[in-house]
Amino acid sequence: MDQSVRSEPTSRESAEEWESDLVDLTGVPLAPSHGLCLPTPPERLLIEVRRPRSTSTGGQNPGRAD
Amino acid sequence: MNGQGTYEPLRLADRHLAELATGGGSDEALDQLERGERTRRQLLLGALHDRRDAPAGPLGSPDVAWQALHTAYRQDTGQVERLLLGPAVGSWVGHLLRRLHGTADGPELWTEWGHLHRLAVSAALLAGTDAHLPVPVTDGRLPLPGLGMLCLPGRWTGHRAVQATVHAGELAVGSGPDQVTLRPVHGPESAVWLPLRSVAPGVPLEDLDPYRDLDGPLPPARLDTAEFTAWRRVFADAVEVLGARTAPGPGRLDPGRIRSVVPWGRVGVLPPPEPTVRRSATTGDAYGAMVITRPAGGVMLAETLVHEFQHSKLAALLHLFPLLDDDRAERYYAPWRADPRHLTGLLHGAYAFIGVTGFWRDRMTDGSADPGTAAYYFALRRLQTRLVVRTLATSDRLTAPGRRLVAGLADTLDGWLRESVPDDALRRARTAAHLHRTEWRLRNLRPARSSPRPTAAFWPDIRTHVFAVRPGVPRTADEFLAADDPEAATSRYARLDPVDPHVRAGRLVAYATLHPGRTARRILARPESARLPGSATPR
Repeated sequence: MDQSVRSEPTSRESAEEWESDLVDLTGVPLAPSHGLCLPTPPERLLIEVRRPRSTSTGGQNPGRAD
Repeated sequence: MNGQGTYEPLRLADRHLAELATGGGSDEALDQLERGERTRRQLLLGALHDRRDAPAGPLGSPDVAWQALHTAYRQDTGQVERLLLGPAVGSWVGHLLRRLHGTADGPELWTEWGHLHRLAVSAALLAGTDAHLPVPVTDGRLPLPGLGMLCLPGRWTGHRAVQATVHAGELAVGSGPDQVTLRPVHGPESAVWLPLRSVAPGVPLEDLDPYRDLDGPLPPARLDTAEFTAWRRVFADAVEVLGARTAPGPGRLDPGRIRSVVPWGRVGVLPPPEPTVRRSATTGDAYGAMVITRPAGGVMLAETLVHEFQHSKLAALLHLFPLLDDDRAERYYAPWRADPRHLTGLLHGAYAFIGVTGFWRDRMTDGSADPGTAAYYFALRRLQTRLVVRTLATSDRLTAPGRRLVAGLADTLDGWLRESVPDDALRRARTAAHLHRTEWRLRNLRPARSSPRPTAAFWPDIRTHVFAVRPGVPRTADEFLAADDPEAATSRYARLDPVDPHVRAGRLVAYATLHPGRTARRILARPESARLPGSATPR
């Protein structure tokens, strides 16, 4: 399991909030530019986006929401 | 950013996770998911921006495109932000990163990088800034994300780079006597310009963007006027169905959350569409977009909109947190598919179908659909979805937020399973559920290690929708079973190929219906090992 995710609740009964390994970039420009230093994407994010996809046109089963 | 110059992590309030875990989710919860999607888009755009290995093709360095994009963003942040958050942009970003990683195929790489240049042109047009840069044109077509597509006159084949100039809202493409000039933003359709159309206010009907599918680029598939009009009509009907229940909950959807509809499989009104949606799909790269074949009516479209948006919600939640530790082994039974699924696929199915179950629960009483049909689908999907949720819960693969989510789904479904449904609809739903599971096991499992491995080829589910309505005059074996006449069904199955898994499933379920008890339960539990009493049916 990915150890970089700090997503354990603060109590066994209920947690007030769950913390992601993605950071809050609200207010940071969406369009990249030189000099805009964004954090490195978490490895989990990169692994997920790099995983091969199927397409709607492939096969007879419906496209997969992978 | 905090006082130390680092960024705070995204956080999801437990009450919001609890709402999402019911299968629904308030506006606040969805806003949190969308905030996560923005971060993801930013980080992935940044990852592309930081690549220094764009091919030195006809477009030269992508720096000119990044600069034009940034200039437009500074001028009109709102417009360009909406453009960059568009679903097809997400598909492009994800696909290009996969191509650079070697996990996707596509056309010449410089043309895929070149989509950035097209994006920059769109941004400049929307923001009213100037830009001058080369763009890739394919077979004479220049798609402009978020705006439409330019069709250059003359004979064009393959990929070529042409110069594009934007000034004061006017676009000039090409040079000399072949140059085309137009004002694309709000520009009318013409011989050279196909504007992006909307199926409803604020909801694009995306039939042009090359990255409108789940991964790689596609040619455009422009709907003719009649098909476009039909889409608007059936979408309006679907919105009316969804508008009957507006309080947030599983199975409910604010159509304003839909980012785009990608019509699939037809560009004209002929042949007439089927009553149900033949194909629909979603990708986590394109939050809020859904690929759909147009059905005949609004109720089935509404069901599909709910189904597909559930996928977007879950994908966004998965982007925020790992919900399970998945080895991606495709071995699990999903009641709505012919193929075995991995755990993430199972979770996606469970989340989508809790939405579908809630959708039909609402339709039982709001008058927008036949109550009997709604009762059947409600009974069927609650049963099937609860089975899948149990598989997930007992998999020992869930993380803490994953356990929270799955426990919430189980709570919703357990409550629904206690609700009464008319007897005949309930019987047909249980029979249909048994039939699908039985046929799946016959096709995908083997009774003993020494048995030949099944081929697991695709097989169509032709029973689920047949059982939705009690047949008035049954003719086939399945129809007799749906009409609660298992004896007649059995005699008709006996005339068919006993080796055919579809027929065998029917025979087994008909037998179990006629002879309830321990033997029947054993047959239904492991049909791949079952031998009907008095039968020499081979396996």
